[in-house]
Amino acid sequence: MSVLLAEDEESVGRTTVALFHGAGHRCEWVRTARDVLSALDTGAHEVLVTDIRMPGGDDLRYLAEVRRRAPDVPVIVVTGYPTLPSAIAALRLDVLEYLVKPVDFGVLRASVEEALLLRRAGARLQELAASLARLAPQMQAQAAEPALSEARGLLADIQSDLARLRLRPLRWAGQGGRRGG
Amino acid sequence: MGGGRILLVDDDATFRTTTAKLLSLRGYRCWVAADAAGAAGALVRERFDALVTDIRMPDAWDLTHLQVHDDAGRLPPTIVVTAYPGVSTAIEAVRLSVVDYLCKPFEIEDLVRAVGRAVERARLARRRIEARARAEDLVEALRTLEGDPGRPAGWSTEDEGLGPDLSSLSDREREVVHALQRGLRVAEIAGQLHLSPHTVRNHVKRVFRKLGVHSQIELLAELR
Repeated sequence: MSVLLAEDEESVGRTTVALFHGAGHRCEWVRTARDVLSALDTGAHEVLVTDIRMPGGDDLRYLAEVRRRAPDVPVIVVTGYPTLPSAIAALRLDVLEYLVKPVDFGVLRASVEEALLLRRAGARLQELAASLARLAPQMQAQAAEPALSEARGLLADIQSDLARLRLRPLRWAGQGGRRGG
Repeated sequence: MGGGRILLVDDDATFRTTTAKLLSLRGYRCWVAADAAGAAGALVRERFDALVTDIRMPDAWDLTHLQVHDDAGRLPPTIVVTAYPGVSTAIEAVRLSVVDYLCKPFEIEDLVRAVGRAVERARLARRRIEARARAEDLVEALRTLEGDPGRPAGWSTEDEGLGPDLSSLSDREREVVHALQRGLRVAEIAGQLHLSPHTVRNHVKRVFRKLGVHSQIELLAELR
């Protein structure tokens, strides 16, 4: 799991990274809009948590550029300066959450985990469905324990995904959905 | 097919009729509601591809109501139109994955574009739901194949007559069971039967008790 955190306030950045690590998430911290864009180009991140007032960027143009370059990466906006234009821009750009500082880490973490789940779910479900379809005939032919135990593992995975996704409908219409589903 | 089914909710009659006429010209089918009760009723009864709604009406139809319908899994992709834009409602709208937030008066072409995006989103969401339902079917099929220890794997309840006796169930409980068999989820059943999800869950629990099963999967396997 890898979170890209864009935050120019030193103390907020340091604390947030520590909290993400404590919660078991890998987290890379960058401080400028330009660094966000080049980090996204590496394709190594699954979710972006970003301030929208950073050196080197007009907030709204920056957000649009992020979505254009990495349409599959869900975005969570965190800002100390909520405004109507930026909130409207965020929703038009399919931003998952718009959080106002100071942000409770529990809320941020829950949003990030939901984003990760959404990003993975579509593709993963299809992959699992394909595996299950492949395994079912083997099981029927009683072809034994290895297939059965692999299927049980997949079953557990798919069920926990389904159970968690039910908490919030699959509304997110990121480009990932188009590709995955 | 047409372009999609749109629900328009606004207490302003002029806005409703002109917008409905305009969207009809673009190939959409429009339903209108003038108040909270009308809007809620329409959302419960019908399925829409997009909702265009004011969020400040005399009888207090607002984003909280939208949230309720969203939780019940029946909120179509939504476009908010408001003469009273504010940061806090816009932020809430982000959370609801609102497609667009338009401040009155707006350019009609902006609305048309937003409706187009909403309808496309609805189509994608349906595709995902179908994919998920297929995956769930497979999970159930596998569960049945695994079988319980007392029964040879892969065998159905063939030698047990017509499956469990449903005569001990109330009419309502049978309705819930049939909905489960059709693959509906609790929120959807609640919507269809005009019950709260909580009540539906209670029905499900009673059904389990009466039929001596412990999970939905077990129940469906029994009914197969």
